[in-house]
Formats: sequence, structure tokens, C-alpha cells
Amino acid sequence: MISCTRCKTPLNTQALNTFALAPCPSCNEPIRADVYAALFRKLPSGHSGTPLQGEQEASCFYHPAKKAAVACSACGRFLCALCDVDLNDRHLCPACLEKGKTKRRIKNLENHRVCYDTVALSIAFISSLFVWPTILSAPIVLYMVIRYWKAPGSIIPRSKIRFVLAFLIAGLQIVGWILVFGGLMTS
Amino acid sequence: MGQYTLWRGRDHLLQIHARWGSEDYKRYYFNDIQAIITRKTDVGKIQNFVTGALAGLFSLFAATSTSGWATFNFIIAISILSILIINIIKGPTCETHLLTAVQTEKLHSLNRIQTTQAVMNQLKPIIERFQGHLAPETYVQHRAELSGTKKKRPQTRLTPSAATVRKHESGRVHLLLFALLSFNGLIVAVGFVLTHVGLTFLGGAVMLMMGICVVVALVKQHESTLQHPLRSMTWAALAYVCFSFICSYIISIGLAFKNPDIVHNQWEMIKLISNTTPWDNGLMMTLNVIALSAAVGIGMPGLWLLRNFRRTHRPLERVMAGPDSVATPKRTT
Repeated sequence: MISCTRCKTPLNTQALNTFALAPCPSCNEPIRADVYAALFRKLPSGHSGTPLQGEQEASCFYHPAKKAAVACSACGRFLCALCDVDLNDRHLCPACLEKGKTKRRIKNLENHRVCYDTVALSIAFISSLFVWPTILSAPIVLYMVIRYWKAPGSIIPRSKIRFVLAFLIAGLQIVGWILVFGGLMTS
Repeated sequence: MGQYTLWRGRDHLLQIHARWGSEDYKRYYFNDIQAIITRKTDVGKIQNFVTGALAGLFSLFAATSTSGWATFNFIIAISILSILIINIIKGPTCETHLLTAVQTEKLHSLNRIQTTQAVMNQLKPIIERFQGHLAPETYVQHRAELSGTKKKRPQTRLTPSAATVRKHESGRVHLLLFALLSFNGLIVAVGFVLTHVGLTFLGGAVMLMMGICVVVALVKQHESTLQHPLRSMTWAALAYVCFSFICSYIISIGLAFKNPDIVHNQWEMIKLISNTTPWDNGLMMTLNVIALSAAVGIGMPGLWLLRNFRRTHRPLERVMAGPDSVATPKRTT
């Protein structure tokens, strides 16, 4: 049942898939609801795996009493219907799924990334506003640029412009400090 | 905090929440999306009102202050005005939710009607390519089946629908609040031509009553049948009351600092406050203009909306409260 997101009143059939804003029957808020066939699709029930019928049959690696239904696409272990995880037309065992997530082998399971290019540029930029912190931040930024140059950045492909800018700003800050200290030494 | 963006993948939508150099990802597969719902909100209007008021305020300050401050206030006013213009160009705001079988997620990046409608129009054929087209009659049929199965379930008194949970509210406190607001506007208007201790006392009493009324009204309107614009007006009244209290406090402190010899004499302080007029300086004029505009802009429309609301709900209220309908029920069979 599709409801108004404000007053939680179920919407009329006429209010759905209108491609335009229509008032909610209860709170009168203009609302547009696009409904798709998945709303009426029954959720697939989970498989439990079939028990072994004879000794000739291959068994699941994780459940020796269950019949193997498929082999893991990553490690090749036999899996019963219960252990089989279908992901993007690949059959994976729970261990490979976990490994793929932690080691970032399966891109679709990744849910967090640190973008070191943004961090480096932010540190370089913010510290330059206060001048004095740059004496510490500039070497840190340079280290970050070199250390994480090849590290995966955002999941959305983008250029290395942030790293380049951070490197330039930090380089200029270091040159500035060298000039300041050089001037002080000579005077 | 942070920035939300929405990206279209081969078989899914990707929502990225970026903050402080880290990114969190959420994927919604086209095959799993059950519905996308967008609802127009008043956030944009409130933003326009606030930025407009601030721009006006700083323009007034710029007009009344001396050269250095005038330039500063003018720059601030121009900056706020540009924000207002951008906000107007971006159009009305909305809230968008995406439904799957296991979650209802807010799509934070789809917060403007124009963009959201364009995105929804773009996504519709893509999602239908994955799920197939849903004919309107199919939906009606499914809904009928669903309601049919629901009817078979035994009805219990503990499962009322969301719509019936809302309590009926007559709006008496709201009436008092908006009437007080309008009356306060009248007092402020009189203050432009007349200063008197009695007027100050009356203004203070009205403000105090407004403070009480607005809290009671907010409590009463919660989960009630009151219409959305009326509720918004009550929230605006709360903002105005808070603003007035803060301004009164600042003015009192300012007067106390200017006249330290009469700080301990309350009567002298009240007389001093009552002697201040909007014509004394630019700040007083600005505050009085804001007070007058807010009182008239919230009080009068509030009364009008309440009148309409009470008109439409009165017949139902009478039938429900009438002794005949309860005491002598008519047999229909």
C-alpha cells in the first residue's frame, strides 16, 4: 500500500502514476507517486537445501548432509541451495562474499570509501586560511599525496586534479616557509 | 551534514553521501524499486521568507547607518539577496522517498520539484525495462485483492488506520493566538504615534499570553485534523514570539547599559521603555516594522484560514456532538 509520506494516509488509485503532482486526499499536500511492478511481486522464499540421497552425490562444503547445488564462482567450493548467494549472476559462498566485501573485490558490495584527494585538498586549503598551521599541514599534505596517489578514490571515476592542487598548494606553502626562515637567518 | 548525490548505474541507482573526505554508498537496484514518491514541501517558501526578511533588514540597516557600516550592511544585503534569487530560480522544494520491499529511503539529493520530476521521468522507462510495465488496471486489481484479503481478517479495536488516529481539533486556542497576534500588530502600530506606560503594559501582557497560547496551540495541533497551512502559521507564530522576546530582552539590556542609574528601579525602567519610539533610531524602526509585518502577516491570514477551517468542519462537529444522534439512534432496517 502506497501512503502519503507526510500523513501516512493510503493514496487513491487515481493518485498513482499520474506523472504530475496531485493533492493527498487527507493532508492536501501535492504528491506524485510512481509505482512499479515490483510492488506486487512476491518475495522469493529462502531455500533450505535438499538432504543427500546417496553416497554418490556431492555434498555442500559447509553442510555435509546437504546436496550440492552449485559451485562457488570464486573459490569453486560446492554449495547447497542455502549457502548459494546469487550476486550479479554469480554464485558465491558466504566466505567469498565476506572476503569480496572486506578486500573490495566485489565493487557492488562496497559501501564506504575514504577519498584521500579531497582530504588532502581540504587540509591544504583550510590551513592556508590561518597561515600558521601550514608549517605542520604542508608536509602532511605532501605525504598524503605521495602515499595515496594510487589508492582508490571516489567510486565515481574522477581525475587526480585534487591531488595535483593539494600538492601545488602544499609545495607553495613549504617554499614560502623556506623563504621566511631564509630571510630570518640572513637578517 | 555532507552532500548527497544520486548516480545512475547499469542496473542500479547509487546514492553517495560525501562528508569530510569520506563517502558512504547505498545502491537501489532497478529490479527492486517498488515506488518513488515525491511530496512538495514548504521549505523553499520558508527559506525565501527568511532570506527576504534578512535582506530587507540589512537593506534598512544600510539605509539608516553611517558610511562604513552602510557599505558593510549593503554587501551583506546583496549577498543574502543573491541567495534568495538563486533559491527562487531553483524552484519549489520537495521530499523524495524510494520504496523497496525491505526499506523506505529518503533521496536527499532530489529536493527540488523540477529536478525530481525530470529524474522520475527519466527513471520510469529504465525501471520498467527491468520490471515490465504496470498497467493501471493491474494496480486496481491487486489493490482490490489486497482489500479483499484484509476484509477477511477479524477486525479488532486496537488496529485503527493511520487516518482515524488523528484527533479532532476545534482550533479555539489557535483563534485566540491569531487574534492576539493581530491585536499586537495594532498595539505596535499605535506605538508609532503614541507612547504611554499603559500601552507598554498592554503590549507585555499580550506578548505573555501569546507565548502561552502558542505553546498550547502547538501541543493541541499535534496529530490533529488541523490543516497544514494553519499548522505552519502556528510555527511561524512561535518564531515571531521567540524573536520578540529576544528583541525585548536585547533592548532592555541596551537601555540598562545606557542608564545604569535607574537599573534597580523597575518603575523607572518601564517608563523609560515606554518612552522609546520607533523614530528614535534605525534599529528600533526596523524591529517595529518587522513586528508589525509579522503580526499582520501571521495573525490576519491565520484568522482567515481558521475561519475557513471552522466553516468546513462545523457541520460534522455538530452532528458528532449533538445529543440527538447519541441519545435517540434511528433504526435503519
